[in-house]
Amino acid sequence: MSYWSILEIDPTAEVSTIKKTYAKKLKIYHPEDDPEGYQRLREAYDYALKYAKSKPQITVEKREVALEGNSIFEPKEIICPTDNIFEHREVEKNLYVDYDIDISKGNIFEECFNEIDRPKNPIEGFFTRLNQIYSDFQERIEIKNWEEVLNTDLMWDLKYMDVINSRMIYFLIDNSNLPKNIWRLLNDNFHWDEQEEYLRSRFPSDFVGFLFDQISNTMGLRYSYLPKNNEIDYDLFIDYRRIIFNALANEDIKGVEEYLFRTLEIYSHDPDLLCMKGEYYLRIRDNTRHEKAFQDAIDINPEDISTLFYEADIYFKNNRIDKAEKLCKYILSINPKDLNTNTLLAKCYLKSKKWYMANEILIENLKLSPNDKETKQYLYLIVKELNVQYKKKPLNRELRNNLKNTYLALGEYRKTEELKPKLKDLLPLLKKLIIILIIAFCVITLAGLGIILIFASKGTLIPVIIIASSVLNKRKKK
Amino acid sequence: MPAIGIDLGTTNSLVAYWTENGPELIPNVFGCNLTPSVVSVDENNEILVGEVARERLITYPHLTASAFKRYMGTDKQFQLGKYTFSPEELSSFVLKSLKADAEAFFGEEVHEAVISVPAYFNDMQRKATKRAAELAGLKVERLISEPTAAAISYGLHQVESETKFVVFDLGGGTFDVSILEMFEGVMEVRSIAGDNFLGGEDFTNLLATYFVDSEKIDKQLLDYKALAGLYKQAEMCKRALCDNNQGKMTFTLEKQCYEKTINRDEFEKLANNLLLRLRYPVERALRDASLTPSEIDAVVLIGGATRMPIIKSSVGRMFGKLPFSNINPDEAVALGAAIQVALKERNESVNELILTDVCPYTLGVDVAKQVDKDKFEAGYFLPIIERNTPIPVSRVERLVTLQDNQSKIHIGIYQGESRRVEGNIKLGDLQVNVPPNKAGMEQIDVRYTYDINGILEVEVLVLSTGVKNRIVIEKNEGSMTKKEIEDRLNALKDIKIHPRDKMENKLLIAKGERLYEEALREKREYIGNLLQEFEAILSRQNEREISKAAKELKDKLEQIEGWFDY
Repeated sequence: MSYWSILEIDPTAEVSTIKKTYAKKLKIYHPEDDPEGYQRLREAYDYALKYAKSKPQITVEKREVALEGNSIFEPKEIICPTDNIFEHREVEKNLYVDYDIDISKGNIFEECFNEIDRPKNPIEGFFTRLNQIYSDFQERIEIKNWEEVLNTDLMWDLKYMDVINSRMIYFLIDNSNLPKNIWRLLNDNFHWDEQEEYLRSRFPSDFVGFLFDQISNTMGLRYSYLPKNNEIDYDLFIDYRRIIFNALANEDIKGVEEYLFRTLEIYSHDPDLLCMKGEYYLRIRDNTRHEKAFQDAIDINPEDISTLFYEADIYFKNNRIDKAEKLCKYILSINPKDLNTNTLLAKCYLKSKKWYMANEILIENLKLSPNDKETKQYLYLIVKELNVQYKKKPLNRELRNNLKNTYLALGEYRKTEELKPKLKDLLPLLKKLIIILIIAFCVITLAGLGIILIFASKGTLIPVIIIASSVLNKRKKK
Repeated sequence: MPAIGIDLGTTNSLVAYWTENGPELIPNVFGCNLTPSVVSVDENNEILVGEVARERLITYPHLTASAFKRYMGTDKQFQLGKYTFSPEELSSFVLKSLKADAEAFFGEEVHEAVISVPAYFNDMQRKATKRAAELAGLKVERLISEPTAAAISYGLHQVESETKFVVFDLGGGTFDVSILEMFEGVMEVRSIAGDNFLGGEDFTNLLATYFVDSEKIDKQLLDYKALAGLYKQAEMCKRALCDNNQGKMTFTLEKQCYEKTINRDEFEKLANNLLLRLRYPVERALRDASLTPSEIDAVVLIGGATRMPIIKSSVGRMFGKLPFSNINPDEAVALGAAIQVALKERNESVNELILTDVCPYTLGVDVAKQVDKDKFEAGYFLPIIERNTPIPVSRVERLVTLQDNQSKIHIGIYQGESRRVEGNIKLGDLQVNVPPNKAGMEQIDVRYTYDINGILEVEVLVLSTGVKNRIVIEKNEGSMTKKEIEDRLNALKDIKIHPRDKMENKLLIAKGERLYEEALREKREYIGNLLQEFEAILSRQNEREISKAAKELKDKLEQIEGWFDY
C-alpha cells in the first residue's frame, strides 16, 4: 500500500491539499483510538509533505532569499526564491537573510543582486567587529568586549542563528588563540557542547576536537601572564606554546626540544611555559632543572594555585603519585574547597588503591558541586570496585558504610536498602560454625572413646561399662 | 460524573471543568482559582494544603514543603515533622485538595481527571505524576503537556484557520518551548524543547543573591526564617519591577537594617545568563521543526514568570515580533486541560480538534561500536525513537550478539541526546537469554512503543527462539510495585487532612502568625494580642461569635499587610 493510497489522493505538490486530506483522515485514524493506523497515516503524511516541498511551489507566500556576502569561506549558491523549504542541513552552506522583497517591482533576481551591494548587512558588521576585537591582543583577552558584541540584537534575532553559528566556527578556525573563559562564553551562546554530532559531520575533526577541549572544564593554557606592553609576537608565542603542549602529550621529546627554547626566548616569564619546561626536564630525568623550572613558575605569582595545580597534574600524569599527592595537600591547605585539586587528590588515592580516602573526598566534592560529571564518574568507579569487595565480605561494616555513603551521595537511595546484610550472607558463616561444631563433637566423642579404650586395656573397662549402664538406667527411670 | 482538568504547577495549581460555554475554573475553599502547591503539617499532625500551608513556609519551615514538582521522579524525601514524604505523596495531597474543591462545587464525587505535565517531563517524571494521582484517588484519563493545553485554550479563540505558533512557558520552576501548527481542526505539535531547571524562582534567587552579595551578608549564616524573609523581599522586588522601573529590598538581621534598590536595566544585565538559557531551547525547537522565525505567526506567553518585562523584551528580540499575552498566563493550562476532558469524551459542544503530540526526548539503547578490526567500544547510544517524533509511535531496531557463546544480552534503556550513554538518563534495563552461538549470529528485535501519554514500553524478541520479553520498566527504580502502592495508600489513608470547613479560621491564624514573624516590636505585640483574642473566641465554640470575630480579624490583618507593602 503506497503512501498516496493511504491518503487517497494522487501525488501532488500542493501542500494545502495534502494537509486537508490528512486532517480528514485523522478523524478516522484517531491517535487515541487507533495508534497503529495513526502511525501509518502520519508516515504517509510526512512523506507526502516532503515530496511536495521538494517541488517548485506555484504560490509563493513568504520568500527567503539567499545572498552571497563578503564571505571568508567558500562561495555559496544562490537559492531561487521559489524554494521555500528551510532544510536545516542546507542552511549551513548558505547565507539566508530575510528581506521582504516586493515582486511587483519586477525581476526578482535583479533585486537579489542589488542586495549584495548593500553595505549595512548586519552580519558583516558583526564579524567586522569580531575581527577588530581579535586583532588587538589586549582587547582580545578582555571578556567584556566579547560579552558586549554577543549581546547585540543580531545575536538575539533567531533568523540569523544558523548563519552566525556556522560562520562563527569558520571564524574561530582561523582565529583560535583565545583564553578559556572566552571559549566558554562563546559556548554559552552557541551551545556547541550539544551539537557534537552535527559539528563533526561538517567541520574538520581536529578543529572540533580542539573546540571541545577549549570548552571543557579542564584548565587551559593561560593568557593572563602574557606581557601587556605589546612587545612580543603573541600569536607566535601562543602557537609554539600549544605545539609544545601537544608534543608533551604525545611524548614527542624531540618535538618539545625543537620548540621549547626558542619559545622561552620570545618570552620567559609565562608560568605555564615554565611548567612545561619543568615537565620536559622531569621526562629526561634532570631533577635539579625540573625543580628549578617549577620553582620559577611558582615565583612569578606565589599566590596562584593554578600554577601549583598544573604542577601537581604534571606529576600525576608522569606517574609521580606521591609528589602529586603532596602538592595537592599543600594546595588544599590554602584552598580546601578547590574542586579540581580535590578531584586530582582523589585520583591519586585511586591509583594507590586507597579507596576509602578517595571516596571521602569525592563525596565532599559532590556536596559542593552536585553536577560535576568527573566526580560522579569516579564515584561510580569506586562503587563498582567496592561492590566487588563487598560480594566477598558482606559482613564488613566499614565496607558497607562506605558503599552506603557513596550511594546516598549519588542519590541512589534504593541501593542503600539492598546493602543490609541478608540471611543468605550469614549462611556461609553459619555453615562454617556448624562444621566446626560437628568436628568438635566428633573430636570429643573420639576422645571419650579413646579414654574408655585406655581404661579398658587397663582392666577397668567393666566397671566403666557398669557405671555407664547404671548411669543410663538412671536416666531411663527418670 | 464529571471529569476535571488539573494544572499541577510548581508554584500554584488549578482545577477546571468543561461547560457548554467553554472551560471554567473551580474555586477553592477561599474562593480563589489558584491553590499554592505547598503542603504543611499542623500541630495535630494533620495535612494542610494551599494558602494556609504557604503562610507557614515562613513560620514553620521545617513542617512545610514547596516546589516539590522539581523533584518528581527522584527519590528525594521531604521531612515534615514526624512524617517523611516523597514528591509524589506531596503532589497527591495537592491533587486531593483540588479533588475536594471540585466535589464541593459539583455536589458529587469526582474520580477522573486530565492532569498537565511539562512537555519536557521525562518518563520517570510522568509516571510519578500518574502515581500521585492514583494516591489521591484519581484515575488519570490523560496526561497532557502544558504547552499543548495552553495552545488549545488559545486555539479555540483563534479566527484564522492555519497558524504556526510558539508557546513560551516560563513557570515557577520549568521552561518549555513548543512549536505548534493548527490547521483544519488539527493541532499538531511540531517540536518541543526546554529546560527543566529554569523558572521564575531562579530570577528571584538571583535578586536574593545579588542583595546578600552586595551587602556582604553571608548566606550560610542565615537561618530558615531569615532566608524565607529574604526570598520574600526578592519576590516582591521582582514583582515591583514588572510594574515600575525600580524595585527595593529591605532586610533586618540582628538589629541591622539593610536596603538595596535595583532598576530594570540593572536587572536585565544581572539576569543575562538566565536569559541566554531561554534562547537555546527556542533555537533548537525551531531547528527541529524546520521553521524559520519568520514563519511563526504568533508567540504565546504562559506561566506567571512571563509577566516580567525582561522576558517579553527577550522574546521580542528573538522573533522580531511582540508576544501575545492576552490569555491569563496562570489560567491557560487548567482551562486547556478541561478542554482536553471534553475532547476525550467527544463532547458535542467542542469543535472537533484532534491533537497530535511529539516525543520530547530521543529514546534508545546502549550498544558497542566496532572501532577496529577486532575492537569494539561499548557505551554508545543508538537512538530508536528520535526526539520530536509524532506519538504514539512504535519503532524497532535489530541488534546482534557481540561475543561467541554469549548467553545473555543486556539491554539498557536510555533517554537523551548524547552520543554516549553516560551523558543520557537510564530509564531501565532488561536482560534476555539467547542460545549460545557464534558472535553476530544471534539477533534480537528491540521494539520501543511510546504511547499517547508519553509512557514507554519496550519489547524484546529473540529471533531464533521466538521468545518475547516485555519490559518491566515498572520494576525500575522510582516505580512502585502493586504491593508498594497498596502499602503507601494504606499509610496515607491514616494521615488526616485538615477539615475543609475549618480552613478559613486556620488561614487567619497562619497569616497572623506569619505577620507576627515579619513584624517588629509594637506591631508584633499588637498582632500577638489579636491572635490571642481570636484563639480564645475559637475555644468558646460559639459559631456566631466566631464568624463575627473572624471577619474583624481578617480586615485587621489585611490592614497590617498593607503596612508592609512598598
